[in-house]
Amino acid sequence: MIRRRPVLSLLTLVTLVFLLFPILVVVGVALSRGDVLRFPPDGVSLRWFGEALSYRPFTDSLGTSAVVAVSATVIALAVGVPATYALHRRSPRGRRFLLTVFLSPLIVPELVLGFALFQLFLVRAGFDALTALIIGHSVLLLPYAVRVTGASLERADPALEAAAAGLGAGPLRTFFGVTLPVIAPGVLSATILSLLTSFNNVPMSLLLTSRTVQTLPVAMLEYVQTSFTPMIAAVSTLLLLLTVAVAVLAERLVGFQQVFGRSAP
Amino acid sequence: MTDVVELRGVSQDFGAGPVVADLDLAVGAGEMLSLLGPSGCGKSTTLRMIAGYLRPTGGRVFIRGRDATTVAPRRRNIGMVFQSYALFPHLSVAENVAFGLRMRKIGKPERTRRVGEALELVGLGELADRRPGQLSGGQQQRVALARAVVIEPDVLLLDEPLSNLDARLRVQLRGELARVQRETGLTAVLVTHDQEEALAVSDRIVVLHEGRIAQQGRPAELFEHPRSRFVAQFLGYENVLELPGRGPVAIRPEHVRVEPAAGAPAPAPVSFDGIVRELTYRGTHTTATVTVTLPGGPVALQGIVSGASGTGAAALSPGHAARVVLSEPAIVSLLDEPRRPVLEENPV
Repeated sequence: MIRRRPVLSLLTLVTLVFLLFPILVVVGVALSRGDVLRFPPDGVSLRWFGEALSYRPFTDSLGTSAVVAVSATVIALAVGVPATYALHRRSPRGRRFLLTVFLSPLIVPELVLGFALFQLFLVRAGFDALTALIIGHSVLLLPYAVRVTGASLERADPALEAAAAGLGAGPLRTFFGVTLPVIAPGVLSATILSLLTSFNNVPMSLLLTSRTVQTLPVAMLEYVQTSFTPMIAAVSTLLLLLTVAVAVLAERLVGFQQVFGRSAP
Repeated sequence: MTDVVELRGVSQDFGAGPVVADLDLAVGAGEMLSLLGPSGCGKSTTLRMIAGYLRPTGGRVFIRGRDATTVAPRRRNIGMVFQSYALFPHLSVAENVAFGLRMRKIGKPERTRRVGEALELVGLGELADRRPGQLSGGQQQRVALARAVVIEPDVLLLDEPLSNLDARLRVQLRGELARVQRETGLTAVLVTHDQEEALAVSDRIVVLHEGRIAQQGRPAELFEHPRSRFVAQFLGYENVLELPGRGPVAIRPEHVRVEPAAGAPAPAPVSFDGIVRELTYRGTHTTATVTVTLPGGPVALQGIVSGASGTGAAALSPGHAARVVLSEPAIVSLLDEPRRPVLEENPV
C-alpha cells in the first residue's frame, strides 16, 4: 500500500502521529521516576501510579464520578427511552417541538446550563452537590438517550409491535418483550456513551461541585492549578485506560448483539 | 352459514377525503376472500380495520356476530401476516410461533405440541431453533404464517404476504398459503395487488376502486365478465373500446389478431383497419399496437401478430397499414356507464 499511494500513506502517518503523540507524552510522563512533569521522563517507574491511587482527593472524587455517571445514566435512560418511544410510535402533537426540547441540552452551552442549575439547585433549593450533579448530568445525557435509541427505533419495523398486539400482547408486554429487545443495541450504545460523557464532563461539573464533593476531572483540574508533578499524568493515563476498556467492551457487546440479533449464515 | 367478518357501512377518512367509503362486506366461514386493487384503493386500510389497528371513522365491524368496532387488536382473535414478515428477531422460530399461545396462557406441554404441529404444517419442523435472521424470505413468511395460524384465529388476515418475494417463490408460496388455509379451514382475507395471485387462491375476489367495491365474484366469474372499464383493465383487458352499435367492450390482447392489410374488407369477424404504432417481440409471439379510427375517435388496440412469428412480423412495420381482427366470442360487454361516485366527489 505504501508503494502504491505514497502521499496518502504519508498523510495517514502524519495524522496518526498528530493524534497519538500527545497521548504518548502523557503516558510517558506518567511513567517518570522524577518529581517534575517533563518529557522525555527521568527514568521509568510506576511510582506516580501508586501515589495517584492513594491520593484522597482523587480516590474520593473517583467514587463521586462513578456514582454520578451511573445514576445520571440510569435516570437519562429511564426518562429518555420511553419518551423517545412515545415520540416515534405515538406521534403526539408537537412532536418536532418536543424532540427539539429533548435535544436542546446538546445546543445550549454547558456552562450556561450549569450556571442555571447552580442557581436553581444549590442556591435556591439548597440541594447538596451530589444531588445537583446527578440531576445536572441527567439533563446533559438525555439527548444521547433520545437520539441514539431514537435512531434504533426508526430502523425497527413498526409491524413488529403491531404483530405483538395482534397476538394478544398488551402495551407493556409489547414494549418490554418486543420493542426493548429489538432496540437493545441502541440502548446499550446510549448507556456507554452516557457513562463516558458524564465521566469526562468538566464544564457543568465545575459549577455543581462543592468543597467536599467533586468529580474526578474537576479534582484533576484543581490539582494542576497548584501542583506540577507527574501524578496528574498518571491519573490521566488511568482514566485513558478505563475509557479504552469501556470502548472495547462496548464494541464487543454491541458487535455480539448484532451477530446475535440478525446474523446471516 | 354465518359470516365470520362483517363490515357494515365502514368508512375511513384520514382527513383528505375517504380512503374507504361506506363499505359493506361479509366473509363467510372457511372462505378465502381477496381484496384486490391497485395501491391506494383502500384494501390495506380495510384489512387494518378488520384487524383493529385502525378504528373506522364510520360504520361498524362485526367479528363472529359481535360488534368489534372499538375492540383493541389484542382482544380480537385475529392472525395477521405482514408484508414485512414482522418476526421477532430476538426470538427463535419456535418462540415466535409460541408468542400468541404464551399470551393466551396456554400451558407448556400443549404449547410445545401446537407449535410443533404449526411448524410441520408449513414444512419448517427442523428449523425450530433458528433465528429469523438465518432464514430466507420464503421461510420467514412461512414462520409468520405458522405464528398466525397456531392461535386458531377467528380470521386469518394476509397483508400482501408475498410482495417481498421473488416471482418464482411467490408462485410456490401462494400454493402453500392456499393449502394451509384449506387444511386448517380458517376464514381468510388476503390483500393483494396481484390479480394472478388473487385468481389462483381465492374463493371470492372483491375488486376495490377508490375505497368502494368495483365488482366482486368468484375468480372465473370476475375474470370472464368484468363489468367496468376499471375492472377489465385491472384484470389485463388491455383493449377497451366502443364498438359501433354495442357500446363499451373489452378484449384481451391474446384474442386480437393483427395481420397485414388486405385489399378487400373482411366480412364476418369484427375487424378494423389501422396504422401500426409499435411492434414488440415477446419470444413466443410478437405483439403490435395498432391505432384504428372508430366513430368515437382513434383508439390504440393491442394484439398478437398472426402467423409464425417471423413471417407475420416481417410483413408489418410501424407507420404502415394493418388489419386488426377481434375474436368474437372473446369480446366482453361492459356496463354502459361505469360508476365513478368517489371520483366525482373528489376530483383529483
